[in-house]
Amino acid sequence: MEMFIYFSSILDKEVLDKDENFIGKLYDVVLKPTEVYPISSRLIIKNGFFRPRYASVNWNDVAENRSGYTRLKISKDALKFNAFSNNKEELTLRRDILDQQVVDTYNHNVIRVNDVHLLKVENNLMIAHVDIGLRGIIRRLEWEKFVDSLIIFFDKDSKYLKKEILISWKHIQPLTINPASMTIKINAPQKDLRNIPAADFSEIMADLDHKQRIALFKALDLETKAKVMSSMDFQNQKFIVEAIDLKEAAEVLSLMPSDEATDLLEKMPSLETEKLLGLMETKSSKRLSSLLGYSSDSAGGLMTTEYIALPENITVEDALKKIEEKPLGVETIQYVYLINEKGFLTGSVNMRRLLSADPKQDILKVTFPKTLYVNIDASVKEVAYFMDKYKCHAIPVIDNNGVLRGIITIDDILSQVISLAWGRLKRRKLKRKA
Amino acid sequence: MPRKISKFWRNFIIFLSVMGPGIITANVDNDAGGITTYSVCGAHFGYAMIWSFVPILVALVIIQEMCNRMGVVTGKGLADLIREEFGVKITFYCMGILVLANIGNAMSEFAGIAASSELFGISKYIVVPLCAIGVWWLVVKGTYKSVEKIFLGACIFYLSYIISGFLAKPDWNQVFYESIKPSFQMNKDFLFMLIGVVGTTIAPWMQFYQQAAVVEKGVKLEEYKYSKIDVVVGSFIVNIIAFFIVVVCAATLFKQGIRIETAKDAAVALRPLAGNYCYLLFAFGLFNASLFAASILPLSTAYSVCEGMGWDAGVNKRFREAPQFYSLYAGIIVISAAIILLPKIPLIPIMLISQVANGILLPFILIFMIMLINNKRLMGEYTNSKLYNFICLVVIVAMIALSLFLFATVFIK
Repeated sequence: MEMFIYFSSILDKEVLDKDENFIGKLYDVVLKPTEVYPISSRLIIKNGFFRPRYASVNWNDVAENRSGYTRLKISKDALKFNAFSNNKEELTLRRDILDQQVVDTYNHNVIRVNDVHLLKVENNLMIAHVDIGLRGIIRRLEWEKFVDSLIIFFDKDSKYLKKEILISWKHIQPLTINPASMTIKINAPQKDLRNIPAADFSEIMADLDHKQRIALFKALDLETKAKVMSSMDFQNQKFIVEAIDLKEAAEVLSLMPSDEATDLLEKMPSLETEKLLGLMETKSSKRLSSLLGYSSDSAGGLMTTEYIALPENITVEDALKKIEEKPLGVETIQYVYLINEKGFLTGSVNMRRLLSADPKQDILKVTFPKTLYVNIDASVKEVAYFMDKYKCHAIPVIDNNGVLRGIITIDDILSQVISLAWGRLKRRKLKRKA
Repeated sequence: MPRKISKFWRNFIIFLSVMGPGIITANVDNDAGGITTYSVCGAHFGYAMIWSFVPILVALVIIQEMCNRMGVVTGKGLADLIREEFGVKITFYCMGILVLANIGNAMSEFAGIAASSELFGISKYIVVPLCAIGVWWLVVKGTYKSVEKIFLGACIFYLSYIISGFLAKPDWNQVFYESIKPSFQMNKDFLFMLIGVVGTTIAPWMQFYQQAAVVEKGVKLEEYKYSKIDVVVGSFIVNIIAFFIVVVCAATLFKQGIRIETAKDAAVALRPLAGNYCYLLFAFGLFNASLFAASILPLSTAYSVCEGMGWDAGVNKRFREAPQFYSLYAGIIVISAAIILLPKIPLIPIMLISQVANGILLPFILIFMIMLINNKRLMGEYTNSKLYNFICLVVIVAMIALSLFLFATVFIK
């Protein structure tokens, strides 16, 4: 008794009734969602070529699935054939999985399913793996025996013979769009999708067609949306912002790092930028619109407002406590900036200095001897030279009065320098891991 | 009044932003093989077949519009859709034949490059390898946007045929009269020529390229009507160029009763009749058309095949990420350029194989297209209307009949 069976070995193969009469060909398998691995619930049989008719069989009436045929427990007369294969919104093997694109959440890419590996559980079939290898294609072409014997003839121990590329279903996210809600149903735990690094996720999105791209995006939670949106290129960002509800777009934008959000808003048509800002909470819209005032190739356009600033008259101990309390979302906690009551930048200190200092000491005593900063009008080039010269990972930005306005971190400069040095194309090429 | 003008300009700008796929596809269609067919048609039958460009135009618009619509609505390429709806088996065989057909097509483009280089007195052993490397480099090192701009620029050079059409000083009254009055001769030569003219205008690779280009460009549903204009304009251009090629050859070669076999013959024969400029323009047009098509065919083939088989594809990826894509792309260029450079290669039988492969594939692709475009699940409200479906079916049946006929002529000859 075989434990596993390939979908291709029963698909379009004959279905027999309890008296071995030919009923039709196996057309599709409707699945029942379970915790992780979906299980077969109904069988769709197709009969006829030019005017095909379909019958649906409950899985309890299926006697056995063997390579090459499927046998039922009931007789042919008990079946009702219709002109449509009616399987509304459930997941089905042929329509939704076989030959379709799915996301592999383990290897972080979009793959096409060549075959489905099914596990026999009691009398049911359960999806165990999807096959994405060359052998899967050759099996579907029904050349498997021929190719295998040819290869065995030349090389008995050829790697090809054992090279099944099977990926466990638990890592597979199907991309079937629910026609009613226009979203994709995410597999029970969203954990898998959330674990994909945002940079890889945005590449996955780029590989999908536009409907799937929007549907998958809509299905994510707000925090993941903001992360994914931040690492997409502008064309895709714009595409998504225009496709989703404006209010939702505003929410996503206010969760994005402010430098990424302003980059996006700056390039959008001004009418839409205004609408988006209007829909945001006053706090984030104020912050973003003040950033939007700066030219994009100046320090002001590059900086982010998520940083840690502390009053200058506290002790090291208090400072560390305040840093701990700071909400997530600040770009860096390596550097802490000190300001006086008017908001002037009066000093800067890094984590190492704080940790090694006496906790009772005044924080002003442990700051860097010289406070480095750039002016808000400084050009990207000036900022880059400056950061290279003083070997710092982040630099505060002050306005003409000396008030601290934001910080620029090394990754913002790096992406500017990379795009200047190698252009966009190379950046895309390098992004993928080997 | 000013409001109307500004609306016109707004529409025009949107059109410019979605323009490209239709115009490029149509122009690539006037490739070396097309120019040869039109030249022979003009030289042997004069203006007799000019009327056929009207029905060809209609068929071309209808077929390309469907691909365009599928691309915009589904956001997927044609090979993708065939794979997802009809399975891997059908896709695999379609793609196999497509590769075969397109290697043949690409060879005829390199043959066109070789012929035109000889017309300019430069050795083909220099020009063909240079062009092959140039084609490879352009796509591997460029981005889609820059490549599309170069391609759109290349379309302008097709004007050389229109200029040469005027230089040949045809009798315009007669040209006009013949274009609106269908004439038909019931003999084997005429029929074969007619089938050849139609067959060369609608080829399977075009549907794949058109749809892929629309998807790549990311044309949105709201912009669809502009994208439709792109298809119509492209189809008009292709027919106008073809028209002028026929006119040039009819006004000179047909009048003198000169028989030709290739586009190169046509150019050579034009020199004493229409002057040096006409000759040079004709030769340059051939070079441009061949090079243009040679840069698109291998790329389009590699894209379609990888899409259908589920392999990573795209010029944005490195070789290690998309080995099948790059191997196919480079393979088609190298094979087709190398074969042209082999001395004493029997070109005619190779071309016939390609023609047969095209002829076998086209009916299947058209049938798949009509099934896909009427699939409610894929197209939603954008399926064909009943009337449109009827027109499409007539066009498709006619195309299938013609391509089967063409297929048969290969063996009758």
